[in-house]
Amino acid sequence: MSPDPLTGVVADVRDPEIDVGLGDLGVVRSVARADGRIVVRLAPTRLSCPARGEIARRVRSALTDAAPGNRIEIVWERGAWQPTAVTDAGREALRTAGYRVAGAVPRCPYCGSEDAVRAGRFGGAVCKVPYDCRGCGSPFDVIGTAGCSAVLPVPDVTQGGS
Amino acid sequence: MPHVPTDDDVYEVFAQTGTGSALSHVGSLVAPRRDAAWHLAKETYGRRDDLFRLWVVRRGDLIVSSAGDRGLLAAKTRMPHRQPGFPTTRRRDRSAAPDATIAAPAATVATQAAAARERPGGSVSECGDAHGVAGRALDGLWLALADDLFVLGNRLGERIVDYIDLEESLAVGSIGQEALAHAETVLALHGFDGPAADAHFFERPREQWQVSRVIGRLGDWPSTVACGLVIAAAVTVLAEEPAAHEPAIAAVRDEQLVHLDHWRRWARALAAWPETSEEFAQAYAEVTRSAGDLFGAGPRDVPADAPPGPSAAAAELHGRLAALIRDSGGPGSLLPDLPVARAAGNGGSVLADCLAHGRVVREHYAPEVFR
Repeated sequence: MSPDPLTGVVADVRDPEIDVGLGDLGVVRSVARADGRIVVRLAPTRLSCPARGEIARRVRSALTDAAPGNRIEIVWERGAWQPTAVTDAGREALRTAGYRVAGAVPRCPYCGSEDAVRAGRFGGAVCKVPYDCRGCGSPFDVIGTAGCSAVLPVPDVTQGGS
Repeated sequence: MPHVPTDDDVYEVFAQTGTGSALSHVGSLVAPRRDAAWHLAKETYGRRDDLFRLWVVRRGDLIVSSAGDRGLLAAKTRMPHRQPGFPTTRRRDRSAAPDATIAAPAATVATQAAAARERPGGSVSECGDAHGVAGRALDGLWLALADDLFVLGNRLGERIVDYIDLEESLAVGSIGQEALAHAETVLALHGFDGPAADAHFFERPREQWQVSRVIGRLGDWPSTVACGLVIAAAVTVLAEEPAAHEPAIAAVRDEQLVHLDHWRRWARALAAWPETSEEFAQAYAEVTRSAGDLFGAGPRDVPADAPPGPSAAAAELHGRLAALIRDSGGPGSLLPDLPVARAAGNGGSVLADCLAHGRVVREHYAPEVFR
């Protein structure tokens, strides 16, 4: 099977949570078509991503509209997603929505300051880690932080909490 | 002669006895006039106590609920978990509850579960064909740990509303969610497709589960911290095995390292606080003493011709687990020196409750939801 123009259709499907295309988010690995069968390989940003069901539903619906009559198979490539897979356009869309992508210095999406501190290790969703900007005081989330303890130094605390 | 008061000559008296106490209703009285009511109230309710404030109100001037207003006055949203005493009460209720027993599984369920155990490998590219002999020796350990992760994840899910603070709720929610996803990932890597994994967790009879003995220790918060710590440590150790190197296992390892770090902080904190150190030391000792079977062979995984005692590979994994737990800053680990075999029938009421809850929840969905 070879790459297919349907890749664009899948890449344009919007993420259910943030208004960004799956292609820009780096979730789409490949789309291939042969013998009335479309195989879509997707990489969840985190193993336990709860949006997988909705993403699969949207992809199926978009493909059914674009190429009716094919059998659609969705394969989740576990652990294949990397923060580097986010495109420049995706980074910009995420920044506009108040997010940063892991892998670089967590710069505030609002004021651009690098003076940000992690506000905990677990955010409102499994793929997010909360940060506070000390420049402008805005809270923001960093996305794609599997193994964030390896990327970022963990401050030693004597108190409990997160 | 008893006097039946009418609302016109009944007065309600409110008094405050000191600056530190609240103004509260102290009683009613009957008086012909307002000034008479004031003097009567002062004499009746202020004769022996110094009063800080005194309010006398004619009953006819009040807006008063009647007996039929109970529905109107009932709280509109019941959030018992927001009540201050909730965690304590719930813990006490749970520890007092008798062991839940599960009805004997129907024969059809047993058959389906047995079918699910037949690994439908071959068609799935992620199947463990490339693992080699060493990898296959780890399969039993992974599937057993998946059982532990599944029960732990469910148990943490129950704790989301039973939290100390919002941050901990987020942490427990994330860790629980990921433990379930990791259990599912392990099954997928061993060739289980969606329905097979579903049957494995929700239709397999309880006797066929092979959870570690630490699962039976999952109870109050100190023991939950200790259990979370040893399970995260075990998954991390196993995920570092060279045979297991693939992206999904690397992701499991990365995520479990975050969990391990979280539980380690809790362990250090609970051990350091004078209020909790004794209780935690006891829970930690019990859990680590039970954790010797995390890398023990499952009851059905030991070949008939195998020599007695743990395999060299299991002993090596166990040694790394012991080192990781020793570094965690807990009060003193009682982990056995060598791995102990997993026995059937572990998990007790924790496993039974988990499976029973799963069954109850799924009964409310149409069957095709799980296809």
